[in-house]
Amino acid sequence: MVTVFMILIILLLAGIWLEINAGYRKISPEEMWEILKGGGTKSVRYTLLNLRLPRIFTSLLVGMGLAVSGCVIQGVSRNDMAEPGILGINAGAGLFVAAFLVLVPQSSVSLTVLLPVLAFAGSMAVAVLDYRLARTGQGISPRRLLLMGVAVSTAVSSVTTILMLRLPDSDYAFVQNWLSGSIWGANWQNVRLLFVSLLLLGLFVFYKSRTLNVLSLSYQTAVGLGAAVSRQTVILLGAAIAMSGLCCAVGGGLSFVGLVCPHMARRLVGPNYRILVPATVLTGSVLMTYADLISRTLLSPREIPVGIVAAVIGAPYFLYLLIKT
Amino acid sequence: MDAVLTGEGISVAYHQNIVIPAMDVQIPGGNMTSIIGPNGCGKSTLLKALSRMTPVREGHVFLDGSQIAKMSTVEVAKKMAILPQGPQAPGGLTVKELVSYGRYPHQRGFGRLKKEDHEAVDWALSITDMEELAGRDMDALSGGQRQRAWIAMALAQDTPLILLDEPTTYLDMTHQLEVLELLEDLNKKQKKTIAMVLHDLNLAARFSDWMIAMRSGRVLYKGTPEEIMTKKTLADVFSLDASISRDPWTGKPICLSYKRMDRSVY
Repeated sequence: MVTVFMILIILLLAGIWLEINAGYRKISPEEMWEILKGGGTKSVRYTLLNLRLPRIFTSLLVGMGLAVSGCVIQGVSRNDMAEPGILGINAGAGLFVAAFLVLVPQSSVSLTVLLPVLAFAGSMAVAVLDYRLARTGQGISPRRLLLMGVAVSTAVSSVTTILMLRLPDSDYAFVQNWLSGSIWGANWQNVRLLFVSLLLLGLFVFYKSRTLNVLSLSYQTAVGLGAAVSRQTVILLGAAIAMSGLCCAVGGGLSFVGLVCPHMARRLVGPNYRILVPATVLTGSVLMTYADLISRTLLSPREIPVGIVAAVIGAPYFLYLLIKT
Repeated sequence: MDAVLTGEGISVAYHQNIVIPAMDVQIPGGNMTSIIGPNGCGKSTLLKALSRMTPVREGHVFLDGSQIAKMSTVEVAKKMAILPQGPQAPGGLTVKELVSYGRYPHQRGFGRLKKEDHEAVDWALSITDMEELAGRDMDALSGGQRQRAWIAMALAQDTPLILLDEPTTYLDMTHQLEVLELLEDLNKKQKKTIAMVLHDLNLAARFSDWMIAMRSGRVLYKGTPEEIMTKKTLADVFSLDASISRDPWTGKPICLSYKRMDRSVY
């Protein structure tokens, strides 16, 4: 167990170091130390502090948030196939982004600030719609919520596609890229916002780990053990949706990370949420760090959407874990 | 004997389907009670209604004299443990972890196990003879061991009352006996009140102090095994023509052979 955590942490640190050095300008450890102390030349300082580090932290945080979000949704719904994207979180964000570009063709406003806000609003709008549709007299059934999510998500995606056909080529490519998942708008302001909100939500989820454990047994067992199942389900799903909405706002439509990283963690440390949540934080950030590294370097200077890279490197490892255990 | 769990005029319906119409029922304290009846008679539904799994449309359920609907669910969970039919554990969960989940209603905050939690878990593992399997994955257990692990979880919950829905399903004869003997020990030595839905009449008669016989959502008969295991009762409850005898070892009534009312044996 400790070994698993150590390996993941080493992998993560190595990935961060590789990412710091991924690009035209290489940065040596001594130079790095200088810069952190406040020295270094202006251009290197700029490269590290304003370009690379915000980007690294953004992708790492996005991976972590999506993974934990998926972990919660899978546990609460007792469904291995569940992930934030299934609820239409990404689709909602995509719709709002595409609709904005159609309605306001001349980008007079700064997109870096507006787009995350739009995306987050889209995610939340779909989440609320799912919830309203899935709610019955007896409260909320996660199974029903997932089914509603699939339906809503498909409908919303179709509308997005129709809207996208009306976009000029460059905007079309932008939205397409965005929907496949790509880290953008990586600045310290977003990093700070993401860090604080994910930290709070993540701590909340960790605090709820014994409830997640009980919920993952079965509805009846959870009730029998004294869990307020309906209320806890809504609260935990709310936290998970907020996390994935935030990540989607800066990382676009990354669906694979939220599905696979919790399973990787589960195979490595077991299903007890007290250990599973921290492990998922690590699998999510490790996968996204390396995916981002590859997406930036493989076809440099062009970037491959990081969501696609995450799927390409995550899928084989996931299959290996499934076959092995 | 006072009843610890009672339903007063409870009716249960799934959508428009009334499964239990206005029933009065009592689970006597300190006893081992079996609920029997044909498939679809509502015995599992009754257990669910008594344990707040399924809402009652009318009437009230009382636990230790308090109305269950007005108690907090944690408060209920400190008095009554429930083992549903065929419970499922997530893959990779160890026996000890599962048993420790039984401490849920007693925990607060982050859920780190305290001294009394560890004591309760160890006690539950030792009573169910699961100490040596504590580190095993639930997936790696046999059916009988798995059922003992779930019973251990219910024991760790440390409640005076335990409800079980068909605890012997999917088990062979030996392991059915093993589970029921464990429950009997819990009842006799640990003074737990036990109420369960059972399919096997002879096992129900052998291990119960009290039996409740249901048909079509109603309690037709209730009484000691001597009172329930009669030709007339089994005819009314199961539409069976039964030959009742006496178990030469336990002295309890047993159903030696049976046939459907309208058929001959051959």
